[in-house]
Amino acid sequence: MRALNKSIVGISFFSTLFLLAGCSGPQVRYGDAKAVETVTVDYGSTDLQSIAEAMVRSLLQTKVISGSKYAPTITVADVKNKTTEYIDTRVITDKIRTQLLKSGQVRFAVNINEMQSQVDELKRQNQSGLYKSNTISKTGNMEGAKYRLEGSISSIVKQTKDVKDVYYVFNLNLIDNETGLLEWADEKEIRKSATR
Amino acid sequence: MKKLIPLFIALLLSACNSNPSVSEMTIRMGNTGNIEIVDMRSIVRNGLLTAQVTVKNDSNSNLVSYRFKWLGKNEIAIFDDEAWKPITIAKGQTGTIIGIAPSPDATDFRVELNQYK
Repeated sequence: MRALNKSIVGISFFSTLFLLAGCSGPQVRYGDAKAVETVTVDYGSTDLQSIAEAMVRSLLQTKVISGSKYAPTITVADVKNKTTEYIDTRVITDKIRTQLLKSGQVRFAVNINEMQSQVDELKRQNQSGLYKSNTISKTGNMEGAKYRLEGSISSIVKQTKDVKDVYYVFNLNLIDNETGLLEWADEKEIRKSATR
Repeated sequence: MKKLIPLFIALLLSACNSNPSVSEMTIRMGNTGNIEIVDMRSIVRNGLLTAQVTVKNDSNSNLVSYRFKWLGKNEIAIFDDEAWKPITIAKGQTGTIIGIAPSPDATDFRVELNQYK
C-alpha cells in the first residue's frame, strides 16, 4: 500500500513537472539586427541592408554630389518591385535616404507620397488664422528637387527538387529633373541558394 | 654606450610610429582564423575614404561575413555599426572586399570578420 502511494506521488510529481515545462512557452531573446540572416532564400533583412549600403556608398562618390559646392537636393521617386515576392520598396528608399542625410552631403525634398501631409501642414498654418503671421511657414517657398532617385528590383528564381536558387538585382538611377539626364546609375546583385 | 645609441633611437622611432599593423586593423570574431588578410590599402577618392582588403580562404568553410568600422579623429567611430555582409570564397580562393566610408569625416578604418551560419 505504501509502495503504491509512493508511486502515485512520484507519477503526480513528474507529471506536474512535464506539464509546467510544456506550458512555459517559447524563449524570447533579442538578436543582432545587423547579423546575416539565412532563414529562407526569400528577400530578407541582410538583402535590404546590403542593397541600401551599396547604393548609398556608390551615390556619395558620384560627381554631382562629391564635386558639388552645395549639397544637392534630391527627391525619391518610385522603386518598382518586379519580383514575384512582396517587397516593401519604400523601406529600401527610406533607408537610402536616411543614410544619405546622415552623411551630410545631400538634402532631400519631400517626395510625392509625402506631399499631402506637406500641403495639409501649410494649409493649416496659413489658412486657419491660428498662428502668428511672423511664425508661419508661407506657401510658395518650397524648394524643388534638382534630382530624383528611381529604380527597380527584379529576381530570377530557379528551382529543382533539391535546390532553389534566387538571384536579385536592384537598380537605382539618379536623374536630373530639369534636363532629364541620367547622372548616376548603379546596381546591386545578390544570389541566395537553398539546398536540401 | 655609443653602440647602444642607434638601438635607443630605433626603439624611440618605433614607439612614435602610430600606424597600426594589418593584424591590429583586423577584428576577428568567431572561427575566422583560416581567413588570411593578404593585402590592405586605402585611398581618399572623391572625398571619401575607400578601403580595399584582399582575403584568402584557407579553410573548408566559405561562410564568412565582413563589415567595416569607420573612424574619425581620435579613433572615434563616426557611424553606426554597418550590417554584416556575407562573402563567398572557396578554399584557396582570394577575394577582394571594398568599403567606402559613409561620410568625409572618416580618416581611418578597421575591418571586422565573422563567420555566419
